[in-house]
Amino acid sequence: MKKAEIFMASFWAALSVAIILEVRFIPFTRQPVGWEKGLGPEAGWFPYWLAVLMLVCSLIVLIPKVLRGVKEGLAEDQAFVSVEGFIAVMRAVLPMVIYVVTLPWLGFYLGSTLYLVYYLRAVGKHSWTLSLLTGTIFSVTIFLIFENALKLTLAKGFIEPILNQFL
Amino acid sequence: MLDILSGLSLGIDVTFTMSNLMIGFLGVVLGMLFGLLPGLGPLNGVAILLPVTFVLPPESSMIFIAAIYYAGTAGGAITSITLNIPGTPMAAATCLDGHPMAQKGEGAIAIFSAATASLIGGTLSCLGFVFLAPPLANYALMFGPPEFFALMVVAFACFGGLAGKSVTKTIIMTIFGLLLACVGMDVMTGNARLTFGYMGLFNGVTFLTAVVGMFGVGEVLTTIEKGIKAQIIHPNVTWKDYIQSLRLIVKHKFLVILNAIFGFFIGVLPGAGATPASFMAYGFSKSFSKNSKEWGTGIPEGVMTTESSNHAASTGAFVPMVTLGIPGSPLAAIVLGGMLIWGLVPGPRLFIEQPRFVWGLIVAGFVVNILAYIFEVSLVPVLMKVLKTPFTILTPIIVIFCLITGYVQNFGMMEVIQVLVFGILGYFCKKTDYPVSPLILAVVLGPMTEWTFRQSLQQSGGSPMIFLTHPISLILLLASVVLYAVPVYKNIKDRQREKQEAAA
Repeated sequence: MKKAEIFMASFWAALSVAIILEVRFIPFTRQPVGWEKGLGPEAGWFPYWLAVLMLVCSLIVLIPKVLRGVKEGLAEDQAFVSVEGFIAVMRAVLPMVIYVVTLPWLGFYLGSTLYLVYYLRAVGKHSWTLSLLTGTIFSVTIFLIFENALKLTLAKGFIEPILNQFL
Repeated sequence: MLDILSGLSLGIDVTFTMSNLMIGFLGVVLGMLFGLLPGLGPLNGVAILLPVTFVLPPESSMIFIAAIYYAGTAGGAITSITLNIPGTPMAAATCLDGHPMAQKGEGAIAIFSAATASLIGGTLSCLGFVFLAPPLANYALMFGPPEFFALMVVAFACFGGLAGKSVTKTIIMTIFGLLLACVGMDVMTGNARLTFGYMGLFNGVTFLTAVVGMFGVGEVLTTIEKGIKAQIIHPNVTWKDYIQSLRLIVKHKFLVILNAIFGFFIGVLPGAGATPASFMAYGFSKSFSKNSKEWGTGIPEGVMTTESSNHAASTGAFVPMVTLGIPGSPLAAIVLGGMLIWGLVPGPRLFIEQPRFVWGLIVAGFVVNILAYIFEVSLVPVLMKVLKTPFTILTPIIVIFCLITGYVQNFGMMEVIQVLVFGILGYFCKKTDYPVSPLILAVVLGPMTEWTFRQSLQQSGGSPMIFLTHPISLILLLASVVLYAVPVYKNIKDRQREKQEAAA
């Protein structure tokens, strides 16, 4: 767990440094961070000092963890997740990322069907019939709900011309 | 008194329309589903289903949300009793006596007495709401920007003291939330802030992407990792059990009522939601009970205590939200964000400007409680079948709904990616004990916090002394210092004691 803790705290520290640079030093995104006389803080004051405070807090978490890590060694570190747990999470996260990345081309309806069929079949070990049925029925249902009932147009990808005939 | 009566009649007017009752019933069904599923609670249900309400008028939206909320809180008890896994965090304390009862073959009695205790807790706290909220709102009407800023700080401090193990981590999450709220156009100057020069961030980070990411995708990932495998104890359900449970409720009526009152006031405090309330109620009732040794071995009193208090606390959490504009629990924080999207300004003026909404909410509270009760009690065997739904079907469906929610914010990819990022971040935060609720609270209250802060300073001509010269704001700020200091002090004491023990 120590490594994960150190990683997380470093993440917050890095994020606050990035924000401090963004608000204060990078020419295109720089904001005034001062205190205007008679008016109070300027636009960048609030985010700038918040980021400074966040940096301080993340260092408070980080430094003792690193010191103890150096003293006791990280070798006998307890695992952050079990191997099975990690595999299970990766099996869910990777297709999720693929789903999002391919969204502009596949759209929500085709993408959802593929994602559901994959997940039910590969992770859930359900039968092909159930997987295909769930995938299809789900997409048809959300199509009817979003496009017909709620009149919200979701991304449809390359099958847009085909789907539009049903509207 | 008279305005309360006229308010209630207005609320009855709003609630008892065919469409609103239908919406309420739909909310009960969906809420019950979320409550039953282990790992997902009404909090996740509200987060995932909130976008549905944007096509409804605010009153109907609120009825829908309240229905999910109450039914979810009630449904969680069934899972706790039959599976020994809390269906919702609020029902975690119900496992303590509920599951031993199921093992003894009294599962049906446990479920029925939990349901009835929930109904009593919910109804009593709605009554409490009716009498406490209007005067509180009246009092808060004289608050100006400095007082509201101080109130926000108190809300953050309350979440800080209670939400997590480490105060520093809570503060980091709060600040992160406030920073997220800063992203995009600054309302006062029009400057683009924290966009890193990327136009996609000019619209800002909407609170919904953070909410569905963290409470939808993130929660699902956590549940996947745990891989829930548990034995369901399937109790036989008969009407005799129901009558028996009613007898038990009558026998322990004072316990149920006292815990409802206790839970309500814990709920009213900002930050403390239903989960701490039910554990505290259980602890107190156990230590004051004559047969305190039997608690935890499967006695109905244990189930009644936790269910009555967690339901009452759920309602209590709405009081500061409606009257002061600061939420009493993580769930209320999400509802508060929803109210902003519905075009309402939470705070004391709500009672004057939106009486239909406020009184509709109050009356809906009563109605939805009863609906959830009837639904639960009459369908216990069916509801237990829901528990057998494989998680591998629900997981991808919940994920897809979360991503769609992101998309419909702006009809662009930016928000979908945000949901995914928040989901993965939420999973890591959970694993490393960074509490998520303070972040959500900060994203919701962030704009108001900065706005009231800068407005106060404009009022005072740039002098920060304004927060200390206004008495109410001074008291609130001192209170928040204490709230942050108490857990820090306790941590240091604990560490000293550990060292002493290690030395000895």
